[in-house]
Amino acid sequence: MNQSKNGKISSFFRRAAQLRILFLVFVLFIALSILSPTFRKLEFILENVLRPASIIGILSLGMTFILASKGLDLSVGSIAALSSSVGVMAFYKYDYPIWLGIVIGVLIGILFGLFNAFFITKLRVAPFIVTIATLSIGRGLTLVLSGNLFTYGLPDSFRDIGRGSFFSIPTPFLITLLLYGVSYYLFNHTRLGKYACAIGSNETAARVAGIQVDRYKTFYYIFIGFLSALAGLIFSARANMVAITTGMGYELDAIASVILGGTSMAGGGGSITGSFLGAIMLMLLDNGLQLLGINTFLQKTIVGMIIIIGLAYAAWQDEQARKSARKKMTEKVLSNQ
Amino acid sequence: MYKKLLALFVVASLLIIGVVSCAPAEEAAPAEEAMEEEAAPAEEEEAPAEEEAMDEGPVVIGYSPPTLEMTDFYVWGQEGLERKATELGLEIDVITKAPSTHAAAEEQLRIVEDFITQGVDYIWVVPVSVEAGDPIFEAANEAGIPIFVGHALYEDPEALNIINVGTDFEKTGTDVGNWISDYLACEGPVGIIRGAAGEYDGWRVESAIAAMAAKCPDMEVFASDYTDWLTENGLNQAKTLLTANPDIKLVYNPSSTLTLGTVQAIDELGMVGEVEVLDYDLIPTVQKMCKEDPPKVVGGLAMLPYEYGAVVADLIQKDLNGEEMTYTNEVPGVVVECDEFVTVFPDWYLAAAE
Amino acid sequence: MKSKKINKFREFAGNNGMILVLIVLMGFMSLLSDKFLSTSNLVNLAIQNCTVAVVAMGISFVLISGGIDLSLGSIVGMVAILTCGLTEYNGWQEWQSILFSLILALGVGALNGWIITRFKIEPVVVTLGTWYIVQGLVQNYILSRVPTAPPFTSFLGSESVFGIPVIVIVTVLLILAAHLILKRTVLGQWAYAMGSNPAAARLSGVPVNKARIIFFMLSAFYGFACALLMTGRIHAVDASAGSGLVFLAPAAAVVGGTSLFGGRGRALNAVIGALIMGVIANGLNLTRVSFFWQQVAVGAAILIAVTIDALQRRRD
Repeated sequence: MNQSKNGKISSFFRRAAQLRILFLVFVLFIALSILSPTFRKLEFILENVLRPASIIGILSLGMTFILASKGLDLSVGSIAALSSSVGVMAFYKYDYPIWLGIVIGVLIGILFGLFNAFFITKLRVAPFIVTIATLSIGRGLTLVLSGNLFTYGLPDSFRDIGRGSFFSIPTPFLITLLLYGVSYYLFNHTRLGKYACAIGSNETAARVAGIQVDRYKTFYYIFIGFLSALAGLIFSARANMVAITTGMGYELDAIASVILGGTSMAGGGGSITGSFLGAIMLMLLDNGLQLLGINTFLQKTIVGMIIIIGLAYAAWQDEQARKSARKKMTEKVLSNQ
Repeated sequence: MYKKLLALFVVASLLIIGVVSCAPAEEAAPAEEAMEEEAAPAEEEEAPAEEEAMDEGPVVIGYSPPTLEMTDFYVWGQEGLERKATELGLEIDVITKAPSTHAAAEEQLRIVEDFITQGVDYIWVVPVSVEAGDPIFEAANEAGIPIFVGHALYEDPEALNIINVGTDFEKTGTDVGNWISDYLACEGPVGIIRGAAGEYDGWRVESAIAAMAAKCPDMEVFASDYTDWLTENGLNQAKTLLTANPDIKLVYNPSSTLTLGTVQAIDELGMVGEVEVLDYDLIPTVQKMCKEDPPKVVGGLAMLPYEYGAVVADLIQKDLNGEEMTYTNEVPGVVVECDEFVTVFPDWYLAAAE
Repeated sequence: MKSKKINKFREFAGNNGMILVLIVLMGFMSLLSDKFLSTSNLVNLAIQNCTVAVVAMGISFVLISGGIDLSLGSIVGMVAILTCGLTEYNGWQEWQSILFSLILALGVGALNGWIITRFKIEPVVVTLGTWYIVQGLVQNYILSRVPTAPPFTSFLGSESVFGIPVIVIVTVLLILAAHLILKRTVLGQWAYAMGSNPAAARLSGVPVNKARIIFFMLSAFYGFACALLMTGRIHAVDASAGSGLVFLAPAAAVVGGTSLFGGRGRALNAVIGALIMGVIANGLNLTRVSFFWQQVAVGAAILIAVTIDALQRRRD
C-alpha cells in the first residue's frame, strides 16, 4: 500500500491532514457561531471549550506517537485516576508538600507506562490486550489505595492549576500549549516522530534497518503515561476532588482526536497539530451540539460519522492521487517511445 | 530456558491469586474517623447478647448494591445494617459485592447466584434496574433464601415473594419539584443536571419537572444532557448550562456525584452566591459544603441510606424470632435545608461530615 | 521413545496451554472453597459464561482473519434494546423485532467489512466509528426507558428443556457451528490464510475482500445471538446494554488462546477464555475477596494468561 514512508509522500500527507482538520474546525466554529449566540462569546470558547479540552488535548499528544507506531493504549484513563489519587493523597492525607505530591503522581504515570511497555516490547503481547488488562489493574489499585471514593476539598494553591487563568487564558490550556510545543518538536524534529511512523508502517523493516524499535516504543508508552498522570492531576485540580471514576472514557476520546487529526495507523504519517486540533474539535462539537439541543447520544453518532467519512474521503483522495500519478507515468513512458 | 520461565509464571500466577484471595475480606469502610469515634459509645450501648443464633455462628447476609464505585451511598446502607445489628445483639457477617459499572445487570445476577452457592442466610439486593431484578428474585426463591429488595418501592412484593425495603422515588422527585417551586416562589429559571439514561434519572428528574410544571407553569426549566452520573461530565454540563442561561437561580442535581461537579462549575464561573444548588442523597461529602462560607449547597433530598440497613436488621431479627416479616417497608426521603440536617440525620452520620 | 512422548506432550501443552491453565485454576479454586466443585456451582458456571463465550466466538472470526471489531459491543446492545424496545413500546410482534435486529446486525457487520476493504482503512479505526454511530443511534432511541424481554427471548435465556438450560444448548450448538466453519469449510481455511499472510492469501486466490465482509457478518451474527441470550437471562435492558462486552469479548478470545495478530485460534478458545474469566470471577466471589481487589485480580489474570501464551509462542 504505502511505499515510501519517509520523504515527500508522508510529509505531504501530514500537511494535507492538518489542512483538513483545520478546515473542519474553522467551518464548525463559524457554523456554531451563526447558530448559537452563546457560542460567540470569547469567554465561552475559553472557559467551556479550551479549559475542558486541555485534558484530552494533553492525552492526544501522546496518543499520536502511539497510534502512529501502530500501538494502542487503552489504560490512559486508569493511569490518570491512579496517579491523581496517589499524588493528591500525598499532600491531602499525609501532608507532604504539594509539589512532591505532583511529582509522585507523575512518577506513577511513568512507572505505569513502563509496565505497559514491558509486556508490549519484551513479551511481545498485543497492546490492545495488555492495556485492557492494565486498565483493570489500574482502576482496581485506585480503589484499593485510596479507600475513599471521593476526596473533596483540596488546597487552593493546587486548585489554581485547574481553575486559574493568566490574562484570561485558562491555566490548563497554557500547560497544554507548552506540552504541544514539546511534542511538536519531538515528533517533527527528532527521530522519535520519524521512527514512530516507520515502525507503524512496517515494524520488521524498521528493525532490519537498525532502528531500536523496543526502545522507542518504550518511550512512547512512558510518555503517554506521563501525560496521563498530568491530565489526571489537572482534572483533580479543576474538580477540587479525586474520584475513583476519574478518567473513564479518556482513552476513546484521545484516540478519536488523533484519528480525526489525520494520524494514520498504517504508518502513513502522523500529525501532532492534527491531534491537538482534533481534541479541540471534539470539545467544540460537544458544547456546540449541546447548545443546539442535540443530545449526547446523537453527538456520539455524529463523531462516529465524521471519523468514517473523514477517513473514507482521505482514502479516496489518496486513491485518486495515485491513479492520476500512474496515468501521468504511463503517458510519459508512452510519449517517450 | 523457556520451560523454566513458563513454570515460574504458572507458579507466580498461582501465588498471586492465592495472596489476593487470602487478603482479608475488607468490607468497604466509609470515613474511618467516624467509625473510630462511634465504635466506643456503640459498644457500650450494646444490648446484652440475646443469642438468637439460629445455627452455629453469625447470620450471613449477602449484600449486592448496584455500584460501589460511583458513590458511597450504598456503603452507608451496610453501615446502618451493622449498627442496628449491634444494637439488637445480632451477630452478622455481611458479604458485599457490586458489579463494576458496565454489564451491571448480568454481573449482579452472577453475584447473587454465587451468594446462593455460598449458602448465605439472607440476601439484600438493590437491583440495577427494577425489571432486571426478576431473575434475581426467582433464583433466591428457588433456593429458599429470604431476599430483601431495596431501593425502589414495588407494587406487589408479595407476589414476587420478596421483602421490599424501598422508597417511593417518584414521590421524592415530586417533592423536590414542589420544594423548588415554593422556595423560588415560581421565579426561575431552574437548571437540572441529568444522570444516566435509566430509571433513577427518570424518577428523580422527570417527576420533578412534572411537579414544577404543575405548580409553576410559567417557570422555565433547563435540563442538561445525560452525564452518566460522572462528576467530570456533570462539571462540564453545569458550566455549559449556566453559561447559556446565566440567570438560572437554582440547579438541581439528582445525585451527590453531580453536585460535586456543579459546585465547581459555579466556582469557575465566579457565580458563587448567585446560584443555589440542591442535592439529592446528601452524602457526608456534600453535607460538608453546607458548612462552607458561603454555603455551597442550600440543602437536598435527604435519603437515609443507613435506614435501609437498619430496617433490614430489624426484619432479620423478626425472622429469627419466628415472626413474620412485612412485605412492604417504606423508607421516606425528605427535602431539607442545611440547618435542618440535625432534625433528620443521626449524630454519627453528621459526624462523618466533619 | 521417551523423548517422542515428551515432545508430543509439549506439543499438546503448546496448543492447549490454556486448557491446562483452566484446569489448574479450577483445582486451585476448589481448594480455596469447598463450594466450588458443587453441582450447583458448576451448573452456574456453565450458564453464567454462555453469553461471553458466544460473543467471544463471534469476534474470533474477525481476529483469526486478521482484524478487530470494536463495534461488536454496540451490536449486542442494539439487538438487545431493539428486541425488547420495539416489542414493548412500538407494538411490534416479537418475531418481527428479532428479525429486524438480525437484519440490522448483519448490515452493520457488512458495512464494517465493506468500508475496511473498499477504502483500505484499519479495522480498529473503522469499527470505532461504527461503534459510536450504532451506540449513539440506539441510545437515542431508548433514552431512559427499561424494556423487558419478550417471551421467546426469555425462553432462550432462562428456561430449561429436559432439565438442561436452553442457554447452554444454544451456546453448544453455536460453538459446534463455529468449529465446523473454521475447521471444515473453505471459509475457515480462508480465515487462517488471511490472518497469517494476507498478501500470500490473495495471491493463492482467496477472495480476501468478500471473505472479510463475511467474517464481520458472522461476528455480528454471533453478537446477535449473544444479545438474545443475555436479554433472556437478565430480563430487562437499558441504554448501557452491551457496553461491557466491547473489551471483554476480545479479551476472552485472547485469554483462551486466539491470537490478536491473526492466523491462530479456534472455537474452543473462546469457550476456554470465557470460562477462565468466569472461574476467576466466581472464585473471587466464593472466597470473599474484597470487591476492591477484584478488578486488580481480573486484570492480572488476563496479563498472566497472555504472558504464558506469548512465552509459548516464542518457542515456535
